[in-house]
Amino acid sequence: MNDAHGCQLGHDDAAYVLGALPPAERLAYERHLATCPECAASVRRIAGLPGLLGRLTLDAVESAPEPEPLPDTLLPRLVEGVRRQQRRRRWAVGLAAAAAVVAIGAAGATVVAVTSEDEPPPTSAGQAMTPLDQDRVDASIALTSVAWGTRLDLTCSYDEPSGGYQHDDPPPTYSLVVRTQDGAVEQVATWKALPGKTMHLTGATALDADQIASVEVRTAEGRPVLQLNG
Amino acid sequence: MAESPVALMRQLHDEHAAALWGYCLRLTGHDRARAEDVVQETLLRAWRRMPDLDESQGSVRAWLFTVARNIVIDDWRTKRSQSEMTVAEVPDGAGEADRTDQVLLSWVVADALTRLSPEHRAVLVECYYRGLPVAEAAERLGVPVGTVKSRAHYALRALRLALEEMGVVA
Repeated sequence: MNDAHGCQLGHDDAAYVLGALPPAERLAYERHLATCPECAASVRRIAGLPGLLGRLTLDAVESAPEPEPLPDTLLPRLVEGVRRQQRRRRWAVGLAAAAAVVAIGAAGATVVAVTSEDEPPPTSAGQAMTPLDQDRVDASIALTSVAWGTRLDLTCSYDEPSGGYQHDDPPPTYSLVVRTQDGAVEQVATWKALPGKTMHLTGATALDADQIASVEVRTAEGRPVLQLNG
Repeated sequence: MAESPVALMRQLHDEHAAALWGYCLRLTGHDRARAEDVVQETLLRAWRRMPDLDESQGSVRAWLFTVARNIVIDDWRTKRSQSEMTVAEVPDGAGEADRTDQVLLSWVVADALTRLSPEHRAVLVECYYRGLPVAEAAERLGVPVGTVKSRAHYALRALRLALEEMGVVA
């Protein structure tokens, strides 16, 4: 759209909403607005901006702070995060293959299996995780120190909603994350919850068990729903 | 997808890390270590969503700001549920989130103003912050009145665009 849309007063919208037109011009412009839908629309688009500008004082605007330089460590950490994720993805493909083997009949294999509730879990029971909110998910987790780091065996169930289950709803996705003693967060597994099913899954981290401050189950949006402090 | 995953991440970093860093510093009350964690987590989530995120309708930056904010607020909730489980507490997370949103909104407006050209910023300073009519602004800036009006016109358009990118106005 042409800003001025062929209208002589097409650029007056800003001076008008900023309150910078002298009284006579303001009145003339208001009369014009009643007859020019383009100018009226253009005023509506910017009418909210003075309110936002008003959040700042003249001093704050004139002494705009210098942007702080990015930490040098950020980009290397991001690249490392990408590489780690890719290794995990490759590993996840391997896990899916292993799960297929489990389904064929290697009962007791530790990797990934989905069982119905009446089958015994393949791993030892862990500690129950504490719910942080009113979600329909329960889990217990066992942390085992191994040569390459820590294995996390999670047993997780997701209640079938009582009545009125919307079959159209996609199953919710959860992730298992560990938080280190120094506050870093690492995701170690993700899965889709299947209503009424109990799942056993194994996450892995190179961290030693004593470096782990807490373990959380989070929703796809990153909201923690279950937690266990180390 | 021709681009390597690392190149994709570098691109996200180059385009958005600086703005996200400023935002996260405010979000975390200038806790640099925490802010860096939040930037990292946010950009990794964005990277995992590529190329869907890039092709979606909204602005990538608005998405990033929303995710960063949610990460910080989730963290408060977690901390509260750890430390204050037994305390019947009246103020809730919403109040805290609101206060933070107010501080952030002011910062977002200030940041958007820094993206304007010096000419555009100057005209807003004269006409809005000093409250001068266009004729006096023209005199102070040494340009014709018509130029003040058209600069103000383009300044507000640019400001609106910058705020839209940060997800403040739709």
